Amino acid sequence: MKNHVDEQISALVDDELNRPELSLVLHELRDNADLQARWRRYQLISDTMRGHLVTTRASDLHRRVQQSLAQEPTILAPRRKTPWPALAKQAVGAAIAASVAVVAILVVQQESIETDGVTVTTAQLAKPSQPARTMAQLASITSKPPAISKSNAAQRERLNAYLVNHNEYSASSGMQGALPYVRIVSHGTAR
Amino acid sequence: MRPGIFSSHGLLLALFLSQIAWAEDVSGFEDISNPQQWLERMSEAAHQLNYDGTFVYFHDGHMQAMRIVHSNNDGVERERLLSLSGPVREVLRDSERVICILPDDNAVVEENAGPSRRRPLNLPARLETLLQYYDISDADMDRVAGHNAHKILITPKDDQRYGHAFWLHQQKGLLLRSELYNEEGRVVEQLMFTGLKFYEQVPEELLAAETHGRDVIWQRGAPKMAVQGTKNWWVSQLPAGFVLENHRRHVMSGNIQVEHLLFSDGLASVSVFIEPMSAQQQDLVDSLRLGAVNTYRRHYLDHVITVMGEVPSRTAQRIGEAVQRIE
Repeated sequence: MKNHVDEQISALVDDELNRPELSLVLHELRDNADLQARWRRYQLISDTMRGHLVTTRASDLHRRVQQSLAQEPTILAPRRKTPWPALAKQAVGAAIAASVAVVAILVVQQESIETDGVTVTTAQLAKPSQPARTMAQLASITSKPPAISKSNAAQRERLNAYLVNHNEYSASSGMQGALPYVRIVSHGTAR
Repeated sequence: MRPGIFSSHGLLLALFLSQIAWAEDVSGFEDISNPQQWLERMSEAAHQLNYDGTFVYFHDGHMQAMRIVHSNNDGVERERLLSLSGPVREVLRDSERVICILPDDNAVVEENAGPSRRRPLNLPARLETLLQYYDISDADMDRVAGHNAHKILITPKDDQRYGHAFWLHQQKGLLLRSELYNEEGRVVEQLMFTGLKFYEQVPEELLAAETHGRDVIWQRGAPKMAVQGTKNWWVSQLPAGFVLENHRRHVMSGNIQVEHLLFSDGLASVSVFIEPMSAQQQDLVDSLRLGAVNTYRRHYLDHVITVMGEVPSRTAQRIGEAVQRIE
Protein backbone atom coordinates (compact mmCIF):
# COMPACT_ATOMS: atom_id res chain seq x y z
CA MET A 1 0.00 0.00 0.00
CA LYS A 2 2.78 2.36 1.02
CA ASN A 3 4.66 1.75 -2.19
CA HIS A 4 1.53 2.32 -4.14
CA VAL A 5 1.01 5.70 -2.53
CA ASP A 6 4.67 6.54 -3.24
CA GLU A 7 4.15 5.74 -6.87
CA GLN A 8 1.03 7.84 -6.96
CA ILE A 9 2.77 10.81 -5.39
CA SER A 10 5.52 10.42 -7.94
CA ALA A 11 2.92 10.25 -10.71
CA LEU A 12 1.26 13.34 -9.28
CA VAL A 13 4.52 15.26 -9.53
CA ASP A 14 4.86 14.10 -13.13
CA ASP A 15 1.21 14.91 -13.81
CA GLU A 16 0.47 11.35 -14.89
CA LEU A 17 -2.60 10.56 -12.78
CA ASN A 18 -6.06 10.07 -14.17
CA ARG A 19 -8.96 11.91 -12.62
CA PRO A 20 -10.19 9.33 -10.06
CA GLU A 21 -6.63 8.59 -8.91
CA LEU A 22 -5.94 12.28 -8.69
CA SER A 23 -8.78 13.02 -6.32
CA LEU A 24 -7.86 10.00 -4.20
CA VAL A 25 -4.23 11.08 -3.87
CA LEU A 26 -5.16 14.69 -3.19
CA HIS A 27 -7.50 13.49 -0.50
CA GLU A 28 -4.70 11.45 1.09
CA LEU A 29 -2.32 14.37 0.78
CA ARG A 30 -4.62 16.74 2.60
CA ASP A 31 -4.64 14.74 5.80
CA ASN A 32 -1.19 13.20 5.79
CA ALA A 33 1.77 15.35 6.80
CA ASP A 34 4.23 12.57 5.87
CA LEU A 35 2.84 12.43 2.38
CA GLN A 36 3.03 16.18 2.08
CA ALA A 37 6.70 16.05 3.00
CA ARG A 38 7.18 13.27 0.46
CA TRP A 39 5.41 15.34 -2.15
CA ARG A 40 7.77 18.23 -1.47
CA ARG A 41 10.79 15.95 -1.73
CA TYR A 42 9.65 14.50 -5.02
CA GLN A 43 9.06 17.99 -6.26
CA LEU A 44 12.63 18.83 -5.29
CA ILE A 45 13.90 15.79 -7.16
CA SER A 46 11.88 16.83 -10.14
CA ASP A 47 13.35 20.32 -9.87
CA THR A 48 16.77 18.72 -9.80
CA MET A 49 16.15 16.91 -13.03
CA ARG A 50 15.15 20.18 -14.63
CA GLY A 51 18.24 21.76 -13.14
CA HIS A 52 20.11 20.65 -16.25
CA LEU A 53 18.47 23.58 -17.93
CA VAL A 54 20.46 26.76 -18.22
CA THR A 55 19.72 28.90 -15.17
CA THR A 56 17.95 31.67 -17.02
CA ARG A 57 15.73 29.19 -18.78
CA ALA A 58 14.89 27.49 -15.51
CA SER A 59 13.94 30.89 -14.21
CA ASP A 60 11.70 31.41 -17.25
CA LEU A 61 10.07 28.07 -16.65
CA HIS A 62 9.41 29.05 -13.09
CA ARG A 63 7.79 32.29 -14.25
CA ARG A 64 5.76 30.56 -16.95
CA VAL A 65 4.40 28.09 -14.41
CA GLN A 66 3.39 30.96 -12.16
CA GLN A 67 1.78 32.83 -15.03
CA SER A 68 -0.24 29.88 -16.21
CA LEU A 69 -1.35 29.24 -12.63
CA ALA A 70 -2.55 32.83 -12.44
CA GLN A 71 -4.29 32.63 -15.80
CA GLU A 72 -6.25 29.48 -15.08
CA PRO A 73 -8.28 30.13 -11.95
CA THR A 74 -11.38 28.47 -13.39
CA ILE A 75 -9.75 25.05 -13.44
CA LEU A 76 -8.82 25.29 -9.79
CA ALA A 77 -12.06 26.88 -8.64
CA PRO A 78 -14.47 23.97 -9.03
CA ARG A 79 -12.30 21.68 -6.91
CA ARG A 80 -12.53 23.86 -3.88
CA LYS A 81 -12.63 20.94 -1.49
CA THR A 82 -9.33 19.55 -2.76
CA PRO A 83 -6.11 20.88 -1.26
CA TRP A 84 -4.93 22.22 -4.59
CA PRO A 85 -5.80 25.86 -3.92
CA ALA A 86 -4.09 25.67 -0.55
CA LEU A 87 -0.99 24.11 -2.07
CA ALA A 88 -1.01 26.57 -4.94
CA LYS A 89 -1.29 29.40 -2.44
CA GLN A 90 1.62 27.97 -0.51
CA ALA A 91 3.73 27.76 -3.63
CA VAL A 92 2.86 31.27 -4.68
CA GLY A 93 3.43 32.46 -1.13
CA ALA A 94 6.90 30.96 -1.11
CA ALA A 95 7.64 32.51 -4.47
CA ILE A 96 6.52 35.90 -3.21
CA ALA A 97 8.58 35.53 -0.07
CA ALA A 98 11.59 34.68 -2.19
CA SER A 99 11.08 37.64 -4.47
CA VAL A 100 10.48 40.03 -1.59
CA ALA A 101 13.67 38.84 0.01
CA VAL A 102 15.73 40.55 -2.64
CA VAL A 103 19.23 40.23 -1.44
CA ALA A 104 21.78 42.96 -1.43
CA ILE A 105 25.26 41.71 -0.71
CA LEU A 106 27.59 43.83 1.35
CA VAL A 107 29.16 46.29 -0.97
CA VAL A 108 32.49 47.83 -0.17
CA GLN A 109 33.37 50.68 -2.42
CA GLN A 110 37.00 50.89 -3.39
CA GLU A 111 37.30 54.48 -2.19
CA SER A 112 36.04 53.66 1.27
CA ILE A 113 37.38 50.30 2.27
CA GLU A 114 36.19 50.80 5.84
CA THR A 115 34.59 48.01 7.80
CA ASP A 116 31.05 49.31 7.36
CA GLY A 117 29.19 47.47 4.66
CA VAL A 118 26.72 49.32 2.47
CA THR A 119 23.49 47.70 1.48
CA VAL A 120 22.52 48.55 -2.05
CA THR A 121 19.02 49.94 -2.29
CA THR A 122 17.32 51.87 -5.05
CA ALA A 123 17.46 54.97 -2.87
CA GLN A 124 21.21 54.67 -2.43
CA LEU A 125 21.81 53.91 -6.05
CA ALA A 126 19.96 57.07 -6.97
CA LYS A 127 22.01 59.17 -4.56
CA PRO A 128 24.15 61.62 -6.51
CA SER A 129 27.11 61.68 -4.12
CA GLN A 130 28.75 58.41 -5.08
CA PRO A 131 32.50 58.22 -5.58
CA ALA A 132 33.41 58.90 -9.19
CA ARG A 133 34.86 55.46 -9.77
CA THR A 134 31.68 53.56 -9.02
CA MET A 135 29.49 56.23 -10.57
CA ALA A 136 29.48 54.93 -14.13
CA GLN A 137 28.62 51.44 -13.14
CA LEU A 138 25.98 52.59 -10.65
CA ALA A 139 24.45 54.79 -13.34
CA SER A 140 24.13 51.85 -15.65
CA ILE A 141 22.15 50.02 -12.98
CA THR A 142 20.02 53.04 -12.16
CA SER A 143 19.07 53.56 -15.77
CA LYS A 144 17.14 50.28 -15.68
CA PRO A 145 15.91 49.87 -12.12
CA PRO A 146 14.02 46.61 -12.67
CA ALA A 147 17.32 44.91 -13.40
CA ILE A 148 18.69 45.60 -9.94
CA SER A 149 17.34 42.56 -8.20
CA LYS A 150 18.04 40.50 -11.28
CA SER A 151 21.63 41.57 -11.54
CA ASN A 152 22.06 41.10 -7.82
CA ALA A 153 20.67 37.63 -8.16
CA ALA A 154 22.96 36.90 -11.07
CA GLN A 155 25.90 38.20 -9.12
CA ARG A 156 25.04 36.25 -5.99
CA GLU A 157 24.65 33.15 -8.07
CA ARG A 158 28.06 33.57 -9.64
CA LEU A 159 29.73 34.48 -6.37
CA ASN A 160 28.21 31.50 -4.58
CA ALA A 161 29.46 29.17 -7.30
CA TYR A 162 32.88 30.85 -7.30
CA LEU A 163 33.10 30.64 -3.52
CA VAL A 164 32.31 26.91 -3.58
CA ASN A 165 35.01 26.38 -6.21
CA HIS A 166 37.46 28.50 -4.26
CA ASN A 167 36.80 26.48 -1.10
CA GLU A 168 36.97 23.16 -2.88
CA TYR A 169 40.36 23.80 -4.46
CA SER A 170 42.09 25.60 -1.64
CA ALA A 171 44.16 23.41 0.65
CA SER A 172 44.03 26.00 3.42
CA SER A 173 40.22 25.77 3.27
CA GLY A 174 40.71 22.06 3.90
CA MET A 175 42.71 22.93 7.01
CA GLN A 176 39.92 24.99 8.50
CA GLY A 177 37.15 22.47 8.02
CA ALA A 178 33.72 24.02 7.72
CA LEU A 179 34.74 27.65 8.25
CA PRO A 180 34.92 28.47 4.53
CA TYR A 181 31.36 27.22 4.05
CA VAL A 182 30.11 29.21 7.01
CA ARG A 183 30.64 32.25 4.78
CA ILE A 184 28.21 30.89 2.20
CA VAL A 185 25.57 30.06 4.78
CA SER A 186 26.00 33.43 6.44
CA HIS A 187 26.16 35.46 3.25
CA GLY A 188 22.36 35.47 3.25
CA THR A 189 22.16 37.61 6.37
CA ALA A 190 24.46 40.31 5.12
CA ARG A 191 21.80 42.48 3.60
CA MET B 1 76.21 -13.37 20.33
CA ARG B 2 75.36 -11.60 23.48
CA PRO B 3 75.49 -8.06 22.13
CA GLY B 4 73.32 -9.27 19.25
CA ILE B 5 70.54 -10.46 21.57
CA PHE B 6 70.88 -7.33 23.64
CA SER B 7 70.57 -5.04 20.68
CA SER B 8 67.55 -6.91 19.30
CA HIS B 9 65.90 -6.59 22.71
CA GLY B 10 66.85 -2.95 22.64
CA LEU B 11 65.16 -2.61 19.29
CA LEU B 12 62.01 -4.31 20.59
CA LEU B 13 62.03 -2.08 23.64
CA ALA B 14 62.40 0.99 21.47
CA LEU B 15 59.52 -0.18 19.31
CA PHE B 16 57.45 -0.84 22.39
CA LEU B 17 58.18 2.58 23.82
CA SER B 18 57.38 4.26 20.53
CA GLN B 19 54.07 2.39 20.49
CA ILE B 20 53.26 3.81 23.92
CA ALA B 21 54.32 7.24 22.82
CA TRP B 22 52.12 6.89 19.75
CA ALA B 23 49.16 5.75 21.82
CA GLU B 24 49.53 8.78 24.06
CA ASP B 25 49.83 10.92 21.00
CA VAL B 26 46.40 9.82 19.82
CA SER B 27 44.60 10.04 23.13
CA GLY B 28 45.80 13.49 24.15
CA PHE B 29 48.22 16.07 22.95
CA GLU B 30 49.32 17.69 26.18
CA ASP B 31 52.94 17.08 25.20
CA ILE B 32 52.78 19.10 22.02
CA SER B 33 54.66 22.32 22.46
CA ASN B 34 55.17 23.39 18.89
CA PRO B 35 52.36 25.62 17.51
CA GLN B 36 52.97 24.21 14.02
CA GLN B 37 52.11 20.75 15.32
CA TRP B 38 48.89 22.23 16.65
CA LEU B 39 48.07 23.50 13.17
CA GLU B 40 48.71 20.04 11.73
CA ARG B 41 46.46 18.63 14.41
CA MET B 42 43.76 21.14 13.51
CA SER B 43 43.94 20.13 9.88
CA GLU B 44 43.70 16.43 10.77
CA ALA B 45 40.83 16.99 13.19
CA ALA B 46 38.80 18.91 10.58
CA HIS B 47 38.70 15.74 8.49
CA GLN B 48 38.88 12.89 10.99
CA LEU B 49 36.39 13.58 13.76
CA ASN B 50 32.73 12.68 14.16
CA TYR B 51 30.80 15.45 15.84
CA ASP B 52 27.65 17.52 16.07
CA GLY B 53 28.07 21.08 17.26
CA THR B 54 26.43 24.48 17.37
CA PHE B 55 28.33 27.72 17.04
CA VAL B 56 27.87 31.43 16.56
CA TYR B 57 29.39 33.30 13.66
CA PHE B 58 29.92 37.04 13.72
CA HIS B 59 30.98 39.42 10.97
CA ASP B 60 30.20 42.98 9.90
CA GLY B 61 27.81 43.49 12.81
CA HIS B 62 25.80 40.36 11.97
CA MET B 63 25.57 37.46 14.34
CA GLN B 64 24.28 34.08 13.30
CA ALA B 65 23.84 30.69 14.93
CA MET B 66 24.70 27.56 12.98
CA ARG B 67 24.92 23.85 13.43
CA ILE B 68 27.49 21.52 11.95
CA VAL B 69 27.49 17.75 11.74
CA HIS B 70 30.64 16.06 10.45
CA SER B 71 31.25 12.38 10.01
CA ASN B 72 34.15 10.30 8.82
CA ASN B 73 33.14 6.73 8.25
CA ASP B 74 36.13 4.64 7.17
CA GLY B 75 37.67 7.61 5.45
CA VAL B 76 34.44 8.72 3.78
CA GLU B 77 33.64 12.23 4.91
CA ARG B 78 30.21 13.78 5.06
CA GLU B 79 29.20 17.10 6.45
CA ARG B 80 26.09 19.17 6.97
CA LEU B 81 26.08 22.84 7.86
CA LEU B 82 22.79 24.55 8.68
CA SER B 83 21.89 28.09 9.71
CA LEU B 84 19.85 28.19 12.92
CA SER B 85 19.02 31.89 12.80
CA GLY B 86 17.99 34.15 9.96
CA PRO B 87 17.17 32.65 6.57
CA VAL B 88 17.33 28.86 6.40
CA ARG B 89 20.44 27.91 4.46
CA GLU B 90 22.15 24.58 4.32
CA VAL B 91 25.35 23.14 2.88
CA LEU B 92 25.78 19.39 2.38
CA ARG B 93 29.15 17.98 1.47
CA ASP B 94 30.34 14.49 0.71
CA SER B 95 33.33 13.09 -1.13
CA GLU B 96 31.75 13.79 -4.50
CA ARG B 97 29.58 16.86 -4.24
CA VAL B 98 28.81 20.10 -2.46
CA ILE B 99 25.17 21.16 -2.38
CA CYS B 100 24.28 24.59 -1.05
CA ILE B 101 20.54 24.98 -0.50
CA LEU B 102 19.84 28.70 -0.37
CA PRO B 103 16.04 29.15 -0.44
CA ASP B 104 16.23 32.89 0.21
CA ASP B 105 18.52 33.29 -2.81
CA ASN B 106 16.04 31.11 -4.67
CA ALA B 107 18.92 28.82 -5.56
CA VAL B 108 20.58 25.50 -5.00
CA VAL B 109 24.25 25.51 -5.92
CA GLU B 110 25.74 22.14 -6.69
CA GLU B 111 29.39 21.65 -7.50
CA ASN B 112 31.75 18.72 -7.66
CA ALA B 113 34.06 18.22 -4.72
CA GLY B 114 37.63 19.40 -5.21
CA PRO B 115 41.01 18.43 -3.79
CA SER B 116 40.54 20.37 -0.53
CA ARG B 117 38.50 17.42 0.74
CA ARG B 118 41.68 15.42 0.79
CA ARG B 119 44.14 16.26 3.47
CA PRO B 120 47.03 18.34 2.19
CA LEU B 121 49.88 15.85 1.91
CA ASN B 122 52.57 18.47 2.10
CA LEU B 123 51.30 20.11 5.24
CA PRO B 124 54.63 20.31 7.10
CA ALA B 125 56.17 21.90 4.01
CA ARG B 126 53.27 24.36 3.82
CA LEU B 127 53.74 25.25 7.45
CA GLU B 128 57.43 25.80 6.78
CA THR B 129 56.60 28.45 4.13
CA LEU B 130 53.98 29.84 6.47
CA LEU B 131 56.72 30.83 8.91
CA GLN B 132 58.28 33.17 6.36
CA TYR B 133 55.18 35.35 6.29
CA TYR B 134 53.59 34.84 9.69
CA ASP B 135 54.69 34.62 13.31
CA ILE B 136 53.07 31.69 15.06
CA SER B 137 52.89 31.60 18.83
CA ASP B 138 51.08 29.92 21.69
CA ALA B 139 48.71 31.94 23.84
CA ASP B 140 46.99 31.23 27.16
CA MET B 141 44.78 28.22 27.72
CA ASP B 142 41.10 28.97 27.47
CA ARG B 143 37.72 27.25 27.57
CA VAL B 144 35.26 27.04 24.69
CA ALA B 145 31.87 25.30 24.79
CA GLY B 146 32.89 23.62 28.03
CA HIS B 147 36.06 22.16 26.53
CA ASN B 148 39.62 23.11 27.36
CA ALA B 149 41.13 24.91 24.43
CA HIS B 150 44.68 25.64 23.33
CA LYS B 151 45.02 29.07 21.70
CA ILE B 152 47.48 29.92 18.93
CA LEU B 153 48.13 33.30 17.39
CA ILE B 154 49.13 33.72 13.77
CA THR B 155 50.36 37.22 13.07
CA PRO B 156 51.26 38.36 9.56
CA LYS B 157 54.63 40.01 9.01
CA ASP B 158 53.22 42.44 6.41
CA ASP B 159 49.87 43.98 5.48
CA GLN B 160 49.21 41.68 2.52
CA ARG B 161 47.42 39.06 4.61
CA TYR B 162 45.16 38.64 7.60
CA GLY B 163 46.01 37.50 11.11
CA HIS B 164 44.29 34.68 12.98
CA ALA B 165 43.68 33.38 16.45
CA PHE B 166 42.67 29.74 16.70
CA TRP B 167 41.36 27.97 19.79
CA LEU B 168 41.82 24.21 19.42
CA HIS B 169 40.29 21.39 21.44
CA GLN B 170 42.97 20.38 23.94
CA GLN B 171 42.57 16.64 23.34
CA LYS B 172 41.24 16.41 19.82
CA GLY B 173 42.63 19.47 18.06
CA LEU B 174 39.30 20.53 16.57
CA LEU B 175 38.94 24.26 15.80
CA LEU B 176 36.53 25.51 18.49
CA ARG B 177 36.87 29.22 18.08
CA SER B 178 38.53 31.47 15.54
CA GLU B 179 39.11 35.17 15.07
CA LEU B 180 40.35 36.83 11.94
CA TYR B 181 42.10 40.21 12.06
CA ASN B 182 42.34 42.68 9.20
CA GLU B 183 45.42 44.64 8.20
CA GLU B 184 44.70 47.13 10.98
CA GLY B 185 44.50 44.36 13.57
CA ARG B 186 40.73 44.68 13.96
CA VAL B 187 38.59 41.56 14.28
CA VAL B 188 36.54 41.13 11.11
CA GLU B 189 35.22 37.61 11.57
CA GLN B 190 34.61 35.39 14.58
CA LEU B 191 33.33 31.91 15.10
CA MET B 192 32.78 30.17 18.42
CA PHE B 193 31.28 26.82 19.32
CA THR B 194 28.68 26.91 22.08
CA GLY B 195 27.90 23.20 22.21
CA LEU B 196 29.73 20.17 20.89
CA LYS B 197 29.18 16.44 21.03
CA PHE B 198 31.62 13.85 19.69
CA TYR B 199 30.45 10.53 18.30
CA GLU B 200 32.03 7.19 17.48
CA GLN B 201 29.70 7.16 14.52
CA VAL B 202 27.30 9.94 13.58
CA PRO B 203 23.65 8.81 13.38
CA GLU B 204 22.48 8.86 9.77
CA GLU B 205 19.50 11.13 10.41
CA LEU B 206 21.77 13.94 11.60
CA LEU B 207 23.30 14.09 8.14
CA ALA B 208 20.04 14.32 6.17
CA ALA B 209 19.02 17.66 4.64
CA GLU B 210 16.11 19.35 6.31
CA THR B 211 15.68 22.20 3.87
CA HIS B 212 13.06 21.79 1.18
CA GLY B 213 14.26 23.13 -2.11
CA ARG B 214 10.79 23.94 -3.42
CA ASP B 215 10.62 26.88 -5.79
CA VAL B 216 14.31 27.14 -6.26
CA ILE B 217 16.58 27.29 -9.24
CA TRP B 218 19.01 24.44 -9.29
CA GLN B 219 22.35 25.77 -10.34
CA ARG B 220 24.63 22.95 -11.18
CA GLY B 221 28.14 22.68 -12.50
CA ALA B 222 28.34 20.52 -15.61
CA PRO B 223 28.80 16.83 -14.76
CA LYS B 224 32.14 16.81 -16.53
CA MET B 225 33.67 19.82 -14.93
CA ALA B 226 37.22 19.71 -16.19
CA VAL B 227 37.85 21.01 -19.67
CA GLN B 228 40.88 20.15 -21.71
CA GLY B 229 42.41 23.06 -23.44
CA THR B 230 45.11 25.60 -23.26
CA LYS B 231 45.40 27.84 -20.27
CA ASN B 232 45.09 31.41 -21.41
CA TRP B 233 45.78 33.55 -18.37
CA TRP B 234 48.45 34.17 -15.77
CA VAL B 235 49.21 36.68 -13.03
CA SER B 236 52.33 38.67 -13.82
CA GLN B 237 53.07 39.88 -10.30
CA LEU B 238 52.05 38.35 -6.99
CA PRO B 239 52.21 39.66 -3.43
CA ALA B 240 55.15 38.14 -1.51
CA GLY B 241 54.66 34.50 -0.55
CA PHE B 242 51.77 33.66 -2.85
CA VAL B 243 52.39 30.77 -5.24
CA LEU B 244 50.20 29.09 -7.83
CA GLU B 245 48.60 25.96 -6.35
CA ASN B 246 46.06 25.06 -8.97
CA HIS B 247 45.25 26.09 -12.51
CA ARG B 248 42.31 24.60 -14.37
CA ARG B 249 39.49 25.27 -16.79
CA HIS B 250 36.01 24.14 -15.98
CA VAL B 251 32.39 24.59 -16.95
CA MET B 252 30.01 26.39 -14.64
CA SER B 253 26.24 26.52 -14.72
CA GLY B 254 24.96 28.26 -17.82
CA ASN B 255 27.59 26.32 -19.76
CA ILE B 256 30.17 29.02 -19.24
CA GLN B 257 33.83 28.08 -19.43
CA VAL B 258 35.82 29.53 -16.60
CA GLU B 259 39.55 29.56 -16.03
CA HIS B 260 40.44 29.24 -12.35
CA LEU B 261 43.83 30.04 -10.83
CA LEU B 262 44.39 29.46 -7.14
CA PHE B 263 47.22 31.03 -5.16
CA SER B 264 48.21 30.47 -1.55
CA ASP B 265 50.80 31.63 0.94
CA GLY B 266 50.33 28.44 2.98
CA LEU B 267 47.41 29.78 4.98
CA ALA B 268 45.47 32.40 3.02
CA SER B 269 44.28 31.53 -0.45
CA VAL B 270 43.13 33.63 -3.37
CA SER B 271 41.24 32.48 -6.44
CA VAL B 272 41.16 34.24 -9.78
CA PHE B 273 38.23 33.38 -12.06
CA ILE B 274 38.22 34.51 -15.68
CA GLU B 275 35.15 34.12 -17.86
CA PRO B 276 34.02 35.67 -21.14
CA MET B 277 31.98 38.83 -20.67
CA SER B 278 28.25 38.30 -20.97
CA ALA B 279 25.41 40.82 -21.08
CA GLN B 280 24.25 40.09 -17.54
CA GLN B 281 27.78 40.52 -16.20
CA GLN B 282 28.11 44.12 -17.30
CA ASP B 283 26.15 45.75 -14.48
CA LEU B 284 27.86 43.99 -11.64
CA VAL B 285 29.49 45.66 -8.71
CA ASP B 286 33.27 45.95 -8.50
CA SER B 287 34.12 44.83 -5.09
CA LEU B 288 32.29 42.91 -2.40
CA ARG B 289 32.93 41.34 0.94
CA LEU B 290 31.56 38.04 2.23
CA GLY B 291 32.71 37.81 5.82
CA ALA B 292 36.49 37.71 5.62
CA VAL B 293 36.42 37.00 1.91
CA ASN B 294 37.09 40.01 -0.30
CA THR B 295 36.31 40.05 -3.97
CA TYR B 296 37.57 42.31 -6.71
CA ARG B 297 36.31 42.45 -10.28
CA ARG B 298 37.42 44.07 -13.44
CA HIS B 299 36.68 43.88 -17.14
CA TYR B 300 39.63 43.13 -19.35
CA LEU B 301 39.85 42.11 -23.02
CA ASP B 302 36.16 41.13 -23.21
CA HIS B 303 36.50 39.02 -20.09
CA VAL B 304 35.41 39.41 -16.50
CA ILE B 305 38.12 38.81 -13.94
CA THR B 306 36.96 38.04 -10.42
CA VAL B 307 39.44 37.73 -7.57
CA MET B 308 38.22 36.16 -4.35
CA GLY B 309 40.02 35.22 -1.17
CA GLU B 310 40.39 35.63 2.57
CA VAL B 311 42.91 38.45 2.11
CA PRO B 312 42.75 42.25 2.48
CA SER B 313 40.91 43.91 -0.39
CA ARG B 314 44.12 45.63 -1.50
CA THR B 315 45.80 42.24 -1.95
CA ALA B 316 42.83 41.00 -3.99
CA GLN B 317 42.98 44.13 -6.11
CA ARG B 318 46.74 43.84 -6.67
CA ILE B 319 46.35 40.30 -7.92
CA GLY B 320 43.38 41.24 -10.09
CA GLU B 321 45.26 44.08 -11.73
CA ALA B 322 48.21 41.82 -12.59
CA VAL B 323 46.11 39.29 -14.54
CA GLN B 324 47.45 39.00 -18.10
CA ARG B 325 46.54 36.98 -21.13
CA ILE B 326 49.22 34.49 -22.14
CA GLU B 327 50.46 35.62 -25.55
